Amino acid sequence: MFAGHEFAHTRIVWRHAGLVLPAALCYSCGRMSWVTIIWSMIAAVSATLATIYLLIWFRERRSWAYLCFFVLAVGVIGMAASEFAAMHAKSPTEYGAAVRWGHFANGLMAVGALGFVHFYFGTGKGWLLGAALGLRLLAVVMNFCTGLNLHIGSIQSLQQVNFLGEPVSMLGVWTLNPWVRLGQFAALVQVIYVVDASLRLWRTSARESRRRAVMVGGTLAFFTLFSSAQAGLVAQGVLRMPIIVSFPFLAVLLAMSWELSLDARRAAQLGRDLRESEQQMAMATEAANLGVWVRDLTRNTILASDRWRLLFGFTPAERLDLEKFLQRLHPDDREIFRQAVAKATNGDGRYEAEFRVMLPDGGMRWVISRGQVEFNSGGKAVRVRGVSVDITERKRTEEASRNANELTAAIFNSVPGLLYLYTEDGRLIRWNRQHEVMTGYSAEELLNFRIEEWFDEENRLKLAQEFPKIFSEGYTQVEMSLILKNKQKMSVFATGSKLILDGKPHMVGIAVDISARKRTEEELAQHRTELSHLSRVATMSELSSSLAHELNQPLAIILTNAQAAQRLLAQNPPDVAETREILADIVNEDYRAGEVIRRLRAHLKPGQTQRRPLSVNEIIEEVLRIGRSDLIGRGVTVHTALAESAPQVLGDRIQLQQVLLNLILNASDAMAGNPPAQRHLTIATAHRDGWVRISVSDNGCGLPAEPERIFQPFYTTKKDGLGLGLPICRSIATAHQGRLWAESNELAESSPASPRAGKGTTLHLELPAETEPNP
Amino acid sequence: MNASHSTVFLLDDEPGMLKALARLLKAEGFTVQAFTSAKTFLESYRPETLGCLVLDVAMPELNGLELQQHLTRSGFLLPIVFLPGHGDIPMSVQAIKAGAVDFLTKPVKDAALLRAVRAALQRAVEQRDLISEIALLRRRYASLTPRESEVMAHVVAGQLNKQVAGELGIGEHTIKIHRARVMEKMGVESLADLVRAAERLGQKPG
Repeated sequence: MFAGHEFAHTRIVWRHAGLVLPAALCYSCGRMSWVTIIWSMIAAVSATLATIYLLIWFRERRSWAYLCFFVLAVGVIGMAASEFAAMHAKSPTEYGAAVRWGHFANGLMAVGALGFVHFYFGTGKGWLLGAALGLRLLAVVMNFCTGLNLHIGSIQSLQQVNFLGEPVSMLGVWTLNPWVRLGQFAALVQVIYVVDASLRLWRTSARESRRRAVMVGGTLAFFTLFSSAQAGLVAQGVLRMPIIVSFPFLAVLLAMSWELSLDARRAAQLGRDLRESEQQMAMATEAANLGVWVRDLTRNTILASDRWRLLFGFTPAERLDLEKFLQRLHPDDREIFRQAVAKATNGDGRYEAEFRVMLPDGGMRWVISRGQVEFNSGGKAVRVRGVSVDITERKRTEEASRNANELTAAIFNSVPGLLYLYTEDGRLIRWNRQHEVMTGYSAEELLNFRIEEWFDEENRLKLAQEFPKIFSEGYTQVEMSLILKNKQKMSVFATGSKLILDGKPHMVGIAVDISARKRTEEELAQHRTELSHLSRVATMSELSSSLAHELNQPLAIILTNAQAAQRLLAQNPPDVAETREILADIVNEDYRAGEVIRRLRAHLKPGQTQRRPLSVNEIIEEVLRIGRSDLIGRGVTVHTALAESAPQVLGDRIQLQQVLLNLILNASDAMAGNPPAQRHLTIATAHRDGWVRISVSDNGCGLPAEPERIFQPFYTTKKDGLGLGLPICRSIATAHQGRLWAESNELAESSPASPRAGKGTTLHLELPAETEPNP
Repeated sequence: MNASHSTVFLLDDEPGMLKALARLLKAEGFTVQAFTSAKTFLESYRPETLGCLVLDVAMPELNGLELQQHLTRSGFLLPIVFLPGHGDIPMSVQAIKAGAVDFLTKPVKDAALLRAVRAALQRAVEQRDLISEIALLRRRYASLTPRESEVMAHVVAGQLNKQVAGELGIGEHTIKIHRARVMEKMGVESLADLVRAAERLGQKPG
């Protein structure tokens, strides 16, 4: 590839040479002298090159390097003519004049060469260039002002020497012009400038540039020094030969033209590349649906591709101008277009606008135009080039996407609670406005908020349990308590769903504030507690006489014992042994009285419910102790059938006792109409499938037609009943996650638990078992 | 009236109470027999035993009032002091009407209880004495001839001899003789004593 390039270069140069040489030979064949032939050839070659590059320069006025080349070539012609004249000078005056004009030619050569380096390399230092040109100009001026010329002060005689087989004139006796040093100094500064520019070019390190630096800069520097030294040596009389400056500079010319020819070749290549890229561009614009346009601002014309015309609804042949274009724009968008143009022409020239195009057939499409304004040398905008493309589809997609986003945002923000999106490692990455309002945190604070930061110790345990469940099972819901920014807590019902985003699992969910519900629940629980307390108090007052008896009994025993003791101690001798026994009995009876009071207090005291594991059998026994006197008083015979290994239940002891006491007293009431010997109350316990059941059966008057009525508030069959006992019992059962219902014994089969059931009612209280049954 | 010859029967379903009452009464020198149920009491009770019953009302199976009725129906003259845990007025009225000596409620002052027990035992003694007196009178009355019985009935009815003679159709003198024999046989010295004896025997005047 590379070698091919080099080869191509070479070929072109030879073709050049082939064109020039025969012409020179033809022209100089009359004299048949080598000097004539060579110097003619130098002039001819230079003239040819000068002509070619002058013509090129005319075409490309901005390429000043071509003009400089031309000047250099003219200088070389002049130099060759001067040398030729000097060699054939008949007198010292002729010789001096020839050399003087040679210095003028040298001046031209210097201007051409330095200018060439300046424009072609673009790396020379301005002040060095100025210095070199100034010195050379001064040298040319001095050439005309002092002595015969810059080198020679005066010539006494010439002499003839043989040069290339023919006699030529050269200096015989002469004096040196002291200003010759100025010429040499000027040459030195020129070389310095060229070397400096070449080195700089070299340092840009592009391969092309380096070659150019060596080829042009090296040749120029070398031959400048060479010719200056040769001329100097000849003028000093050290070298006995004619001054030959044109010859080396021909070499410089050839080196330069070699370089320029490479440029020409490159330009041709670029041209081909450009055509190719233009074709590609056309294909690309076609493929990308790009309409290409150029708007001439001075002539108010628009040139545009067919695609563009199609885009704007113009026919291919129609002549276009701004007015026609503006008519196509949607009236609302014309101002947008004008502003975009104004912005581009006043700014960096980049133009971009999106607007709606109203098509002649009534259709509408969105178009985006992008372009670049071109300015003339005066900074005036003259042309805008650009492309336009149909973005209707994109706009529609954008619109749909914006609608979707707005819908999403609206949904997000209309959720009456917190909406959140967490990463799998628990960082908050998206949330709704409500989230900020309710938690009190700003958006900056919420971004990447760690999920566990919302919770206290207890809730963090719950989180640790529930959060992984989202990713393993896909969904979870939980009631938790959040800590807000103001350190207050908020009870929430929170959900979490697994969501895969960008290939990674996330958790999305909502949390609804249930503080109010919680508060209501607590209030309801409070009301239930108060009501159940009231009901207990009512039950106790119902039982008051039998409870008074229960309490009276130990007090009576204590009193009687004490009185007996008094008498025993009054005897002579006192009966101390019996008294001691009496005191022991008094203590026991006192405890018994205390126990009765404790039970009574427990039922009369308004208290918070306390859930503990309880044995239902123990509860029943305790209840029977409380109701014993009453049951005896009513002539009720109690039968128990307690399951021995009944599991415990979780509950409030007093409330469960209250329920059973109510059931027992109701059963007793139901049997009030029976003869005394036929009032049988049966209490049975059973357990099965994680439930513990307590059944209270009587053989009394039975249920109303709709058994559920007995659980309605204010339903009562008692003369002074409130009708609240059973409703409260049921609410207690419900609060214990249990249930309470009534069954008529006529419907129920006679079961082992209630062997005496026949006529009458059974009430069942069923509670969830807390533990596995103990063996 | 000697307390040492009589027994106080205690009946209470509450053992503690029973024990305390027994202690109190024993300390006062009474002979005490304690029972926790009416059934055991009835099994061991002998009617000839002189004594009284201190009885709780509220007892399972057979309550105090029912026991009282049972005893009365059985002809056992056992004075009863009621000592319920709590009693009410209808209950006390019923008990007293049925012959109870007293109706006390627990807790009871020892003095009140002892007074009641003593009164009950007193009545027991009186009842026993009355019973033996009536038995004597019956024997004496049985020794009367029919005519004498006839005369006695008319005399205790307050009729004069002449009236009796007129009614029976016999002579006044004969009446006088019958009357003297009646007085002698019945072991009375005055008409007043004869009237009282007749009352004891259940004979209504006239």
